[in-house]
Amino acid sequence: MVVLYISLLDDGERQVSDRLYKEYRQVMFKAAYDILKDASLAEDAVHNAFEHIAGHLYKLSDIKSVGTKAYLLIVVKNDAKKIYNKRKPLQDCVDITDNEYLLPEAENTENEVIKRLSKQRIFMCLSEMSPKYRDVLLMKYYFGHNDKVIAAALGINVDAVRKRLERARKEMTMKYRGDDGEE
Amino acid sequence: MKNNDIFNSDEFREACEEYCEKLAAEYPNDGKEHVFSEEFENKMVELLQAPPKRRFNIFNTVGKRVAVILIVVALSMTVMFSVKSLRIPVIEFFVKVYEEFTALFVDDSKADYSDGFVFEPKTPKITLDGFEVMQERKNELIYQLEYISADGSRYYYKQNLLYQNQKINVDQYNEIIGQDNRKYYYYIVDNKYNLIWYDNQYSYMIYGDIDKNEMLKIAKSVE
Repeated sequence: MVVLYISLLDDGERQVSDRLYKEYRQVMFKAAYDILKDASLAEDAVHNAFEHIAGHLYKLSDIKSVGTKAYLLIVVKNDAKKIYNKRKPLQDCVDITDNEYLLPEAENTENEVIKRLSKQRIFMCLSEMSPKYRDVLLMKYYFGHNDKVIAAALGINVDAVRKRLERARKEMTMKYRGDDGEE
Repeated sequence: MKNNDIFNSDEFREACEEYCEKLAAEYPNDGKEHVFSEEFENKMVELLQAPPKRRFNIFNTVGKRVAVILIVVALSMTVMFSVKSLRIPVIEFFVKVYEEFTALFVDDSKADYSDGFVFEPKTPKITLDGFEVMQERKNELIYQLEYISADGSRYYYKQNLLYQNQKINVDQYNEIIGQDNRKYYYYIVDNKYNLIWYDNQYSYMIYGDIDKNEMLKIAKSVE
């Protein structure tokens, strides 16, 4: 019975993987290509991303949702950044720093009017903070993944996830409080 | 909003949602499609068709292994104790170990067994009324007397040679200081007293169908 259940899970997960791959490989490739500027390396990043999330795909229940797309983009960008940084000494080019991942929309949100609204303030904090911290916050609190799943998705160990989460919470809290003074 | 509430608030969730929408909007699904290389496609087919790791994860953590071992041990013990022929030897083993270790000797024996040493039996000077010696046993290590009464009651007196540096563990015994200022120890098994004392070379024991005071009386007569 257990074996049958596991095999059903396996089949289900394989179907999810196939559908996710067909649905998002192009956008994932584009996101990786934007960082790496190399088609072959971008393909590697897409492959790595799927390798990292294999086994946890059942958590992405709604394949067509914006959340799923965003999640895959976060993972593939993280992998692309890793590949970029590995090749950095060979390329003699400018470092990709966390700030380069700032969304263009972030500046638009720096508006005095929406600053006072909690949601917008949080959105702005998210946009401004380091991507590596933003990614773990999104995975933990928005996607609701546990530390182990986050570690697998980001290709780091669980201790690093916990440390990163701790720093992310601290940065988020400081930015949030800093916008509006004492709460 | 308190700091700790930020991450679990509706506002945080909505802000994350908005962030994800904007992130997703940056990469629309339509547009020019990249033609993936054959090598990439092959790699992806291999990856997507590989069995998930979850099956292995059922058994691959330390906690799970420990749990499995504990369950196996618990099941084995349950099976073992439910079968009489297996249960009795195990219980007997524990009882034997308990008895042996509660009868172990504690103080360092100062016995001197240099050449010429001869075991000297010390016989109690009194015999309880109604009893008579039924059997006497003696060798270079032990001296034993068995007493019997007309109604079949028995008691025994034993004198054992202590090993050199032998230790006696009297932790499990009750201690009595006799009128002769000698230390005696006793314990009760099946409602019968066992009285023990020792000197530098011998340990002594009285046990059987008599009470503690009678035993002390006999012990006092051993010099």
